[in-house]
Amino acid sequence: MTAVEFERVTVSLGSRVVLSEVSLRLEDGEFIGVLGPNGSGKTTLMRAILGLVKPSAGSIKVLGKPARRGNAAAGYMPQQRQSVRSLRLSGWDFVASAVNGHKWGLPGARAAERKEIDWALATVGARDLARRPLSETSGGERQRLLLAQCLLGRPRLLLLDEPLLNLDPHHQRVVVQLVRQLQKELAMTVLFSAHEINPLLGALDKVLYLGGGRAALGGVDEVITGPVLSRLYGSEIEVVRIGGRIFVMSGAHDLEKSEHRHDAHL
Amino acid sequence: MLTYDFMVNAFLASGIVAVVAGIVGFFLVLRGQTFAGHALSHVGFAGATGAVLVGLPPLWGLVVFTVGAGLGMGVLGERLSGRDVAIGIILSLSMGLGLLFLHFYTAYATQVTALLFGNVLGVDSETLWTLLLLGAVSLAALAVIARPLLFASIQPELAEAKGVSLQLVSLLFLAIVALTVAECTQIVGVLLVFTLDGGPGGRGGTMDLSARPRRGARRDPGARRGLDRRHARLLHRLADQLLDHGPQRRRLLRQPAALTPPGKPAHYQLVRPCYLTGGCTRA
Repeated sequence: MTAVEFERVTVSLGSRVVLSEVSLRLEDGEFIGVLGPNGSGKTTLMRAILGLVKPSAGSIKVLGKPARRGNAAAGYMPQQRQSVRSLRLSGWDFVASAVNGHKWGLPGARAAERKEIDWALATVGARDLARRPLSETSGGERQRLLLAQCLLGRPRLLLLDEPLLNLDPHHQRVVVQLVRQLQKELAMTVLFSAHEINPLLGALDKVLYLGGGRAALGGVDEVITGPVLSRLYGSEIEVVRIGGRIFVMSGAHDLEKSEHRHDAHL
Repeated sequence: MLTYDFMVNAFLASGIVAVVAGIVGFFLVLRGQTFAGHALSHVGFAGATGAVLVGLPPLWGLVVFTVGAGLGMGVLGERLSGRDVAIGIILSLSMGLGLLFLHFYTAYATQVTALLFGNVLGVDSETLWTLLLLGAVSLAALAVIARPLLFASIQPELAEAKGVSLQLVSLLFLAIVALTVAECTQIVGVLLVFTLDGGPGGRGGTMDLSARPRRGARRDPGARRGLDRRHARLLHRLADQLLDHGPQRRRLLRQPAALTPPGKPAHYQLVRPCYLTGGCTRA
């Protein structure tokens, strides 16, 4: 079974071509790390899978059906925005706002929906966050709540956009382990975008590396190599492995690190 | 006090307006659109005076113009967020248009204070029924869109992915806001609609009555509403000055005794009565 299938997909935002004739097949039940420099199309790829961006050419299939908006089989965690941080909602209400949020009517959860919310909170280990206001939670705790929100409706495909942003190394590890564990327990396909490969090493099944409108899919050792990345970046790239960690270098410059730092200041 | 019909009507009208504005204002503050709501009241001013100029009831002009502008803002949708300057220009333009219409229709000029500051004591039972109807329509419409509105306000990207049309929700919400503004304007006036719309919603969050969405939530008020606050302060000062030179002030000055509050010594005169805050300055 194929979770996501791209066939010669071209996506443009305005006049900029983000993905150019990309073809790939993501198998069901895999943990896939989505990597690449800023503007390489990580977010656009996810938005295209969700049907929020229409490809100008080619076709996208999600779980065998054409990509469309409001697909209940796909869970999504957007890149975290400042606004969520200052909300005074309790964790429970925050998660609850997403349950059937697309239906007309008054807010408020029915019995079956309450059960679903409790299940999602328990699954990510966020039961104790249910009563606390969102503004008083830490970055790692908020990430758990957002993850609980993704699990509502039991999706088979999880799209996580930069869940490690602004987290310290310890919390990064906790989030990656939690997602890996959920992915195995619930037999989901996970697309996990990140700036750096190192926090994901050990949890990954495959890497999807984006750059220059192109994509490379495969195991870590197949994709994170000098020749493949040089082709994606369009310049000479060297991959250095030290003590089980991987550094992507251009000359004497650590590329992934600098991308990360740049984004943290935005 | 309640033996007078006009007082009963005043309390009923203020009550209706307060409830509707409070509920709509909660979402307005949550979405950071208080300034847009404020601008709608100024558009309504141009609409009301324009309607009078062509011989229509001012309420029609008020409703048509505010709802039209609200729908326009809704169509612009996301592009409008953070466009405080553009909203400010529209606001000033409509205020200017309103004054221009008044200039062409001088016979109506005495009613301008009623439009600007509202006329809570001049509510007749017919207006009361209109208010009740408009209020019921606003709240009923809000009840229909409340769920996707809350979702789209808290997490727009996720809501979009789950099939919520952000533009449709924004459009419907601003139409409701426009209707509420048209309603409030008749009672509290163009200049104070902002306080009624933004005040309770913002207050509910800052006081942290509860962390539940139905009872209070907020974004950091300082961050987004700096311009709104400055604007509100300016308007208050403007209103004070207008009143200083207004007919009430002149009437009071002709009767010095009226300026001394009962039971207070003579030097405790109201030198500059401030109608808006209810306070007074001492001589």
